[in-house]
Parts: sequence; structure tokens; C-alpha cells
Amino acid sequence: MNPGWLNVAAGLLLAPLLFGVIARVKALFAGRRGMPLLQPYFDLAKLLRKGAVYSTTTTAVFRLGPAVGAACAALTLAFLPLAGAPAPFGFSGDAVLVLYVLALGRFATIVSALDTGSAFEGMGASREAAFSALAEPALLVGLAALARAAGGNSLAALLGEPTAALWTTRPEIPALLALAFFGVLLAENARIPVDDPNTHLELTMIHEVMVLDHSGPDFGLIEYGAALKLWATGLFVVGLLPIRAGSVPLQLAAGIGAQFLLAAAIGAVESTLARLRLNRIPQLFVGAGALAALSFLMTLWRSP
Amino acid sequence: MTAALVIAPLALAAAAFAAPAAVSRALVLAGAVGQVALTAAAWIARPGPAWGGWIAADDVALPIVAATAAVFLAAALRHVFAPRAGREHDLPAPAAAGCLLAMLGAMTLAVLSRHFGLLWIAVEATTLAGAPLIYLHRNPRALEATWKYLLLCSVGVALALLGVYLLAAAAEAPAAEGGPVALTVEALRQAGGGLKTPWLKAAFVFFLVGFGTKMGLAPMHTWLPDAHSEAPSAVSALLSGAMLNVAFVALLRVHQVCAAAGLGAFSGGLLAGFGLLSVGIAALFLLGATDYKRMLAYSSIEHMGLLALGLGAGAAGVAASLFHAVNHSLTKCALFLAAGRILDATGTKRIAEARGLSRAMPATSAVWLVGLFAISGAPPFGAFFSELKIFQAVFQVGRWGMGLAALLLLAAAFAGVARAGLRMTANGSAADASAPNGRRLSPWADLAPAIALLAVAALLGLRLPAFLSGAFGAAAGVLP
Amino acid sequence: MTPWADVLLMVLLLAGLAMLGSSRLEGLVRWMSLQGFLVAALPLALHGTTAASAEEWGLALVTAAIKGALFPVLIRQALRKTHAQRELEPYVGPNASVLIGMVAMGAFFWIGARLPLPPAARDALAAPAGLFTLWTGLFLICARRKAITQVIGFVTLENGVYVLGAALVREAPGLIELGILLDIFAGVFIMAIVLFHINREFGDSDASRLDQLKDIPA
Repeated sequence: MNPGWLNVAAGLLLAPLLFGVIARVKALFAGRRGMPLLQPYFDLAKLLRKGAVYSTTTTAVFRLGPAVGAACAALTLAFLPLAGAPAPFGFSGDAVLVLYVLALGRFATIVSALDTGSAFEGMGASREAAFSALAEPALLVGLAALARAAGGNSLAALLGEPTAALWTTRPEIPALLALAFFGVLLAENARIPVDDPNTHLELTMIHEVMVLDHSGPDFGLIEYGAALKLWATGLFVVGLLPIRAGSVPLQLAAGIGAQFLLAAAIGAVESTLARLRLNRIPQLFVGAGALAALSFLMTLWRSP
Repeated sequence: MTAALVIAPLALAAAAFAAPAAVSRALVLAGAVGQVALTAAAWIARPGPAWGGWIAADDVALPIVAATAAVFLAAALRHVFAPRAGREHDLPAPAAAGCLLAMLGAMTLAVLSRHFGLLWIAVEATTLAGAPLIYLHRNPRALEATWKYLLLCSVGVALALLGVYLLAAAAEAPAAEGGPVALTVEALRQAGGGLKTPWLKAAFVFFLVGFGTKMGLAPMHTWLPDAHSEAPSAVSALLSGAMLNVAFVALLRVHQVCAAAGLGAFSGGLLAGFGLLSVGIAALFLLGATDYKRMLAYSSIEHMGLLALGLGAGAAGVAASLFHAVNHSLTKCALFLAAGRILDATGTKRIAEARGLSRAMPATSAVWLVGLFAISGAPPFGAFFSELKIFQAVFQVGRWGMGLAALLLLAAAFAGVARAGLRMTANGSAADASAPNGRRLSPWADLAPAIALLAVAALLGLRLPAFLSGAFGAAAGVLP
Repeated sequence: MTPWADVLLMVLLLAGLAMLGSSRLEGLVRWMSLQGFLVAALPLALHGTTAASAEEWGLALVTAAIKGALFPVLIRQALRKTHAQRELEPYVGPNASVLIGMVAMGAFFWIGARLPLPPAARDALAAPAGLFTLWTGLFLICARRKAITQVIGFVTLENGVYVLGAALVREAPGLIELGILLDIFAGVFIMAIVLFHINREFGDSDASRLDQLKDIPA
């Protein structure tokens, strides 16, 4: 069996645990004990048992949205290497496919939000669309920089061995990209400083407000899809780090450990920063894009 | 003795900062007189270089230092004897005195300096010393002028610093020759073709932009009309009559180095281009002048353009420019002193409002009109001959188009200036020319010096003394 | 050339970008202070700390003290008097500034790769970093409204020139370097005083209010 499937299995199983880790870290910062690490699983189980309520203004699109979102996120796992351990599938240029599959998932969420005909969901949808559009250039330029520096343009190469080798010769490139991708991660997954996942004021929400009308198993799928998306975008950051272990199981374990460390970092960032004003969020993306562009310029600069 | 020319004013400046008001004013006068005496002594004795060859009173520096000393003396007289009524909010007298003397010392240092690093430090020091002086009278317009002056000139001089570094890069000799060339004019000229040409070209461009800003060459001139018109007349006289020359000498030195390295055509061409542009822009604004002090400022820009044009016209052009710099200093200083008297009497800077001067203040009005003609190049004043020589040199080098264009622009400028001068002196009645509480200095404080300066300018035109023509001729030799 | 030089210059580039994207005056002052420390340490990093003379160490310390510590003090004094917090309505906003800055950075990387620098600085980021810092200073002077930001831009411009100088020149006479430093210090000092007067006169340090002097057609 292709060891890459272990990556996919790890992602599918462990993704909700990321939310638990983030919540625990935030609780630690706040001086509380926090919810159990496995709470997201209990929540998912609870939601699957419930029944769903559908508004009369919605159509089949609304019913399909959550499933498409979760499916897209799961599909990306098949292409993304886990800290060097390659994925089951890969071909030249699959990075673009992964980006657009993620975009498709986002599109499904946006469209199902618009389908409800509610003003709140529409507001959230438009904000989400705008900010995602701003985040994409940073990701693309960063991947272009990696492609130039590491050679090859399949994700296995971009986030795999050649990139790890860069840390010894041109460390500034992966370092800058890690910062840029981290910024994109915060944006794509609606974490502080882009969006506050714990706010209960609809007018301040971006992502939360889009999923207000989903209930029961649909909401469960939405939550699970969000966890998978966090795992997938986390793989972009973790793939840049020079994690090397000898054997396959060790590599897998190291990768999973790195993912949880990243979740802890997200928790720390969420606890220390405040949510940015809405009109300042584009500055965050411009900053991430500038870091990615600088990294690209460094790949063009002759090596010392 | 060369060092004394610099150290004396600077030491007096330090003393003036710490002294009480009356003493500081006396120190200014003492410094002015002392500088004239020292300069005369230097002319006679011709001392050698000092400070390890970093400063030297050579044939380029001495005429400029002399003109500076003369202008400073005239300006100091006006500053010290200015009426103090209603001036309680001014810059305190010790600070003003200290800044004046510091500016004198820094200007002299910059002109005498043969080392480009020292030259840069001195030029920046003149910028800084001049800033508080522009804001002497503490009004909002002067504040705005001070800010523009400070920011623009500092940015320009910062770019010139990059030019100094680029010059040093050009002077990094290959290892075989042992060590980089020192940044003095002699060493760089000796190195000649050994300097790396691309770096030298870049250095010259940055020098031109940087020190050109200080000199008032277009398009970096925008601070000049504001600063020179809003400053008190004594300070304006100093700024126009002495500080612009400092930048001119700096550009001359770097042009020397370029010529020695074979880039004379490149640097000369750039200088001529900027010069013509300055003359053009100045002529444009002179035609529509509404404020007579601003008019004098634009006239300064015009003459600085002429100086640049002359610099770019070979050895004869350099000598002619040097002569013209001296003439311009003397005449412009006289004009600003007269303008100061007019401002005191009429209380306005607008040409349309300051009328009937020939009836109200005949002597001043005569000086004003004669000065305006002198600065426009009328014989028998020196400016006529120096401008003639500049144009001779320009045509000799083959820049016919530029020369003709400059002549036409000068004619247009003259039209504007003459119109303004005649409007102010000829029209109106005596009643127009007295402000409600017009206060005027004693004529000995500023009118007499103005007349004296104009007389010297005329003398220079009628019969150039041998020592000066010798100096100018020797200065022509600075170009290979 | 030590590896530290590249790290220093990279952080310098990032500081320049941060200054372009920042609209809070306190943030600008902090980045300027960081630039001062980086720039002071640069000659030592470029030419190696073992080969550096006592003079070079002294110069580095004095530069760090003046550019890293004294300038922020002077400017914060001026800030306190004006109670200014943010750069409101700049001529070019922060996002656009960063984007233009990236284009400029690309251009300077291109130029820097083609400059025949002396060996010590050839492979370092010195030329692009110096040029970019110089450009950032000029941009801040032109594209921002407040006079305080213009002073910060001037200091940034000087930092850029200093970086280029460190790359181009191996040894400068210590006296000259010191003189340059003192001149710049005096410049900022006087600018701070004029800023104080501007604030007292006009109520805030918005430089776009300084537009009274102009040539009115007759």
C-alpha cells in the first residue's frame, strides 16, 4: 500500500483534534482549564444524531453546500505531503489544483450562504469572498518562489525534500514563506486577527455568519470540513519546515506532531492579538503578499 | 593663516552663543571686520594649505572668500543696527549672532575645503546654521519657508553624500597600485583616468542633484524663492550673496575631477543643461513677478543658472563664472539691503503696493534701480563683463543654441525686472511709500554699504584689478 | 562578509516595508530606531568583527547611540507636543505604498545585481537594501502629509545612504564619519525644533497646511 494513504488517514482522523488543541491553548492563556481535547469529536457525534431544519427559502444548493465543502477539503489531503512524507497522488502542477479545490469548497460555502436569502449570510459571504481573493496572490507568489528555488512544481517537490534542503543554503526563503503562509492560514480559516471564531455578534463575523442557518448533520459536516481545511492549510506551513526523521512511521509522527505544534501556535496568536478592524485586514494580506514577493525576489538574487 | 579664516568665525560663534545680547551683536561685527582683515591678509600673504592639505586658499577659493567677507560685513551692519522695537518674539540675539557667525565659518570652510568629505560636512553645516536665521522674525510665512528650506536642502545634501561615497568607490584603486586614492581634489585629479568611470559618472550626477539643490538650480529650486524672500533682508543678502556660491564651488571642484578623468564633456553637458533650465524657469517667473523680494530670489536662480552654464563651457567658462559669482554676490547683496529699506518704509513686499519710491526715498530708490540694472548685466558694472565672458566661452565651446536661448531668456528676465523696478520707483506719489509706523535704519547701516558694494561692482567692471584677474586666469587652469 | 550581513540586510528590507505599510506614527518611530541599530552594526558585519579596529567599533557604538536611541527620543518629544497618533489621509495609502514598494524593490534587486561592487559587498544584499531604504525615505517624504513623517523619511534616507556607503567604501577617515554623523544629528535636532514651532503656529504638524507661499500671477 502506498504509504501516502497514511497521511490521508491521519488527516481525516485527527483534524478535529486541532480545534481541541487550539481551544486548550487559548484556555491556558486565559487561566482556565478549558474543554476536553476530544470535545470536537463529541460535538460532531452529537450533531450527527440531530435532525436538520431547512428554511423554505433554500434550495438544493443549500443542502449540497456542506458536503461539497467537506469533500473538497478531504480531496486536498490526497495531494498534500505531510512534512515531507509524500501524498498518494501527485503530478506536475498539482499545487494549482489544490488551490482551486480549496477555492471550490469556499465557493460552495459562499453560495449556500447566499442561498438562504438572509442579509447576515450575504454580508458574511461578500466579506469572505473579498478577503480570500486578497489572500490568493500571497499563496500563489509563494508557491512560485518555491518552484523556482526548489525546482519542480508538484507539491511533493515544493513541500518536500528540496525545500528542506533550502534551509541550509538559502534559509531566508522558506523562513519568509513560512510567515507569509501562516498569515494566509489565519485568513483562510477565519482565526484572529482576521475573524473571531468565538464572537456572537453577527455584524462582526465573517465566517461564522455564513453558516448560521445550517443545522444538524449539515452543521456537523461544515465543522468537519473546517477542521480538514485547517489541517490542509497547516500542511502548507509545516511542509516548509525542515523536519527529517529516518523511517516512515517516525516521519508520520513527526509531521503530525508539527501540525499540533502549529495548532498551539495558532492558539497563542489568537490569545495575544486582537481582531483587526475590517478595513485594516487587507493590510495583513498585503503584508503576507509582500513577504511572499520578497521571498520570490530572493530566489532571483544570486546565491552567496 | 588659512585655518584662521575658518577658526576665527567659529570661535566667535561659540562665544556669541554664550554671551549676553549686546556682546553677541558686537561679536558679529567683530567677526565681520576680522574676516575682511584676514581675507586681505590672505590675499597678500598667499598662505599654503593647512590641515594636511585638506583646506587651501587657492585661486578659486580666495575670490569667493573675499566676496563672502564683504557680503557678510554689509549684512552684519544691517542685522546689528536693525531697529529692535516690536521684535521681542524674535530669535534671541545670542542665538542669531551665533548662527550668523557659524554660517560664516562653515561657508568659508566649505569654499576652502579640498577634501570632499570635509566639504560635505561644511555644506550641511551651512544649511543647518541658516535655518534658524530664516525664522528670525517668527511669523507663519517664515516658518513655512524655513521648513521647505530645511527639508529640501537636507534631502539634497543627503543625496550629495551618496555622491561622496560613489566618488570614494571610483577612487578605490586596484590593489596593485596600493591603497585607495584620498578624497582630496589634488589626489583625485592626479589619479585622472585611473578613476573608475561609471562610478565617477554616478557620483557626478548625485553631486549635481544634491549640491544643485543647495545652489538653486532648477528643478530643485523650489525652496529658494520662499526662503530668500521670507527671511529678514540681512539674512537674504547672506543667503543669496554667499551661500549659493558655496554650492557653486562644490560643483566646480567635482567638475574639475571629472574633467581630469576625461569626463569633462559629460559633466559639462549636464551642468549646461541644468543651467539653461534654471535660466528659463527664472525668466518665466521674473516676467510675472508680483513680490519684489521673490523677484530678487528668482534673479538669483537665473544667475546660478548662468554660473552653471559657464562652468560647463570649458576653462574660459570656469574663469568667467568665478568672476560672475563675485559680481553677483556684491550686486545682489546691495539689492537686498535696498529691498530691506523699502520693506521697512512701505511695510509691503508687493510690487504693486510699494510705489512712488523715487519721491519718498530718493537715495534708496536710486540704489534699487541702479542695482536692478546692474544685476541684469548693464555696463559699466562687472556683471556685464562677466556675462559677456560667459557667453564668449559658451559660444567657443560650440553650444550656439544654448547660448542664444540663454541670451533671449536673459532679455526676457531683464524686461520683467525693469518693469518691476520702474513701477516701484517711477509711479505714484510720495504718500504711497510710507507705512504707518515705518521704521528706517540709519542710512549708514545699510544704504552706505549698499552703495559701497555697487561701487565695487562698478569698479570690477571698469578696471579689473590685477590680483583678481590673475586669480581668475589661474582658476581657468583648474581644468586640463 | 559574514552571514550576519545578509540577516541584517534582510531585516532592513523588512523594516522598510513595514514603514511603508504603517500608518501609526509610533510604529514608524520604532521601525526607524530598529533601522538605526541595524545600520550601525552593518560595517562590522560586512567586513568582519575580527578585522575591525577600535575606531570602527567606536564609530558603530556612536552611530547606534545616535540613530537608534537619540533620534527616536527627539522625534517622540516632538510627537508628544503635537498629540499626533496616526497618519490620517496620506497622499498614498499604506496598501498602495507597500505595493509600490514591492515594485521598487524588484527594480532595485535588478539594479543591485548589475552593480560592480567591491568584493566584500558584492554578494550581500547591500546594494538593493541601501537603495530600497533610500527610496523608502524619499517616498515617505513625498507621500505623507505630516511633517513628522517627513523627518522620519529624512532619517530613513540617510540610513539608506549610510548602507550604500558601507558597501562602497572600506575605510573612511574616522573624523569624516563622525562629522557626517554629527551633522545629521544636528539636522534632526533642528528639524524637531522647527516641528515644535510648526505645531505651535498651525495647531498640528500637517505639512499640507504649509501652502501659503506661492507665486500669484499678477
